[in-house]
Amino acid sequence: VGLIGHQSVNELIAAFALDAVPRTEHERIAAHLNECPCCREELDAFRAVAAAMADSLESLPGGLWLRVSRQLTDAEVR
Amino acid sequence: VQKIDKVSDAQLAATTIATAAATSSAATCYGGLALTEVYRQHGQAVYAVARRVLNNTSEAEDVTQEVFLRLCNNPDRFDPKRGTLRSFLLAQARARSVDAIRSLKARRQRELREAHSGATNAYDLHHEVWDVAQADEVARALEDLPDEERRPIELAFFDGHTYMEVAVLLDQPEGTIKSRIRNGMRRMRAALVEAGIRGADRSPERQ
Repeated sequence: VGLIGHQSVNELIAAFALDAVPRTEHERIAAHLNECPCCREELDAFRAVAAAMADSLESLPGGLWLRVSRQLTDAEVR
Repeated sequence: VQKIDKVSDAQLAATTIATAAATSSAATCYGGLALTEVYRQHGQAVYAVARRVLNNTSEAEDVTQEVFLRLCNNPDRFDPKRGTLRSFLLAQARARSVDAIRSLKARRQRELREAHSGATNAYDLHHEVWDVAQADEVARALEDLPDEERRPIELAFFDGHTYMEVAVLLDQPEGTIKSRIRNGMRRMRAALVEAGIRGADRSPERQ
């Protein structure tokens, strides 16, 4: 195992933002991110792109959230 | 190791404050965060996965509902050490969709649902406004990517494959796929910033 250098983590930031990195690599990447503001900034930017892509998929059906929240009210979850 | 998760949870919590006021308190159940926010960030991807597997919109809605209710009722089933919330939810969406295919229950749930349909609320209205304004730009940016960059991103993000799996699927070296995902994501980002998508140049908040 051992440390991955900045370069090799940086190559994976985009895939990481898409949740496309296997678990075995997660910890090492996360460890580097904790120490590298520039990789973190890049991750934020890629996550914003991922969030925008998720939101651009065909629209969620209107009223679906209402169904979910109603079910929660009925179930008195908390 | 968990520090990164905390950072994103903190961002999530910040955006939650803005939306929480508009939603019912009953929707607050996932680790103190408004489920609304979790739904906002991941609802569409969950729905899209279900839709892909089931090829049926109303059954995909049922599965989406089930995935979020399960998260609320059994939040402990999500273990952050084993992956992100998103990958957990997408895996659940796939599993529940496969279950639904095998089950006639979906039909009965659909009949129940029709009794509830037709309504809307603050979340949906907010979301609709964003949709109309920006979803087309994002879709266009994705379409405009070269195929060799778009395919790996789609396989990774929408189908939930790791970059290694994508490499196998597309019969390319892992290093090539890594670069194509990165280049494609950079191109996407530049396109979204240029199109003025709020938040594309920074963190995911867009309130």
